[in-house]
Amino acid sequence: MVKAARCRRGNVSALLQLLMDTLPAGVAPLQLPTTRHENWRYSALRSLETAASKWTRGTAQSALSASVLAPTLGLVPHDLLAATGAKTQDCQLGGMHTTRSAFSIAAAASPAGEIELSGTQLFVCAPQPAQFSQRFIRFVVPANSHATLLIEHANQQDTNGFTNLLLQLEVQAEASLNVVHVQRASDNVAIMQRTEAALHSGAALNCFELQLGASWSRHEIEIALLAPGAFAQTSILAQLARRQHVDVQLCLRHLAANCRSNTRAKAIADARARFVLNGKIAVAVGADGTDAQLQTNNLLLSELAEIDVKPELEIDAEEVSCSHGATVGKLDEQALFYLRARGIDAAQARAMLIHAFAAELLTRIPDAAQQRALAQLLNDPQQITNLDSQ
Amino acid sequence: MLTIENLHVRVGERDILKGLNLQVNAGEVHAIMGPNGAGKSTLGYLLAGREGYELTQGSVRYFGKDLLALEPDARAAEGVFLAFQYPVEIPGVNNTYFLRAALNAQRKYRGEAEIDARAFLALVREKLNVLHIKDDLLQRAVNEGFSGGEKKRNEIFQLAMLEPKLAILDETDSGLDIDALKRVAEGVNALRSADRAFIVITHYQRLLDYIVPDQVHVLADGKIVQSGDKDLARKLEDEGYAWLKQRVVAEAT
Repeated sequence: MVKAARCRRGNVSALLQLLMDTLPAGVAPLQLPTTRHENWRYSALRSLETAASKWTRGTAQSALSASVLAPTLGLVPHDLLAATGAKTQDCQLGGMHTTRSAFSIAAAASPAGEIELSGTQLFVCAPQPAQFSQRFIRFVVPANSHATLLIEHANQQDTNGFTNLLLQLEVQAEASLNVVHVQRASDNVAIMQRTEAALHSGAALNCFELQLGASWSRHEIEIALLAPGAFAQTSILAQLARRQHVDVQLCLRHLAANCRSNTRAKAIADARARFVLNGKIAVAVGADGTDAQLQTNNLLLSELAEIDVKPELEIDAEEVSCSHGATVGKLDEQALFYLRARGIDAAQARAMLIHAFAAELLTRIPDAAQQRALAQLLNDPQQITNLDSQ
Repeated sequence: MLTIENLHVRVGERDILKGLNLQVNAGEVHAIMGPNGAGKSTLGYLLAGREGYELTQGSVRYFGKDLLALEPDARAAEGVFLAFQYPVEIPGVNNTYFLRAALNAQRKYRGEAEIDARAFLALVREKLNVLHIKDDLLQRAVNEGFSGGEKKRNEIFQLAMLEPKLAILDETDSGLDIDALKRVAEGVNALRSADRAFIVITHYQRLLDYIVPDQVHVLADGKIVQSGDKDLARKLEDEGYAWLKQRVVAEAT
């Protein structure tokens, strides 16, 4: 539980006030995290504090037209912030996870909707101008079934807003879920999201996340492998420029024996952008036979860009196979020269190498059409000419 | 076509080329031989435009232009091609896509229209047939996981596709077994023409049994110490490079 803080009325920041207004009576006051908290070290809330004074609490209005995935993939988009058709549940503040921050507590206090997933469903999250929007939704994949969930953060240009989102994914026994999460909000949008996934026995989760937009975005992802035989594959790809700030806090909790997790993260940071990744594998007592791998490779394109990645292992079990690795580098000069020696100019050669670095990860999305849609979003200069198709 | 005069090149703190002269005309094949460290690869990289090679004296004229003033991509579009001794692996970039991008970039530079997919594939097929190369190399990422022979053949395939005026082959024979060497040489011979010149850089005479040069130059200690016809290569093979050292020393004193 987050420590209660004494907040005198006139002294409460606009951002904290927005969060406090959500809470039902009787809940202890919230405290905003600061950069003194290890997991918030690189993500100061100063810029949000300044912006928050202009936000009002929003009511959901549909802005589904902002979606690019809907027409590309031929899907009907649902509004994530309105989430019509969801069964409304009572909010439960008890038993909250210890790592939840003021943001996820506030989101959890808003009424939750529960949606049973089947087939392929697309949810678009589009904040309205000058609004603070928040939502708590649970997605459930029933036992022995398969579903695909697409989530797209998008908005009309000139939206200055803040989305605070708490998602829960429950994948029941022997079920499987593919998640494709695309964040392509405009530069004046800030996003705070927490995703909690629970995997039951034999369940499989394949989660792909593409972070392209927003000026400030933080995503806390906690995946709990609750019962034997569960498998989680997680991929995070971020392509950032300008002064974008993207912070991903990932935790794979191995809580049962013989579960597997495989995590890859790649970030490309240009200009003055910053990417933060905390990638933790936590293997609990008794989770013997765990197989957990985490690898992050990153590309710095400018002197002023910054990449802070930290893989972390916390192992309390026997007989586990865990590995982690992190690299940060720049574009390969030899490859650049090779391309230029064939007539490709410096700018195009750079673009080709950057795209190749990113696109490699897209192959972890099982659906070819979804792969193509995301490749397009990466400003794909590469149209592969297939000899067989001619 | 290419006139190199009194070329002095420094790499880092070291002087590598020390007064190299070379005249190459259209249609000719020049072999440059020499011991390790003579500066053979430096010459290739310098002509192609790799960074880190400092010209301290001399000039390189290519069709009357100052070649070294051009960017590497402009040199390629002007018709200079370097077949790399160690072709670079580029994961994630499809070989066919790369070739088409290169061809179109060169055409754009020359003010020509881009080649469309259909015409491009027709050209690919034609060149594959001439060189007896299977198209499976084209479906893979550029040089990624290619064997030594595949990498060298891929270089020659690029040479065929891009149709340069001046092709520099940097130790294209290194690391090849005799069958692979023959295939690469056949590819090069198929591309010889009256308006194309080759500079074949090699350590061994073996390649020159298959690609017969018009002139052979011996590069030692940064300059050409002897030139002759193809028989010079044989003589080198028989006598080794040791006699050159005496020669270099004799000249210096």
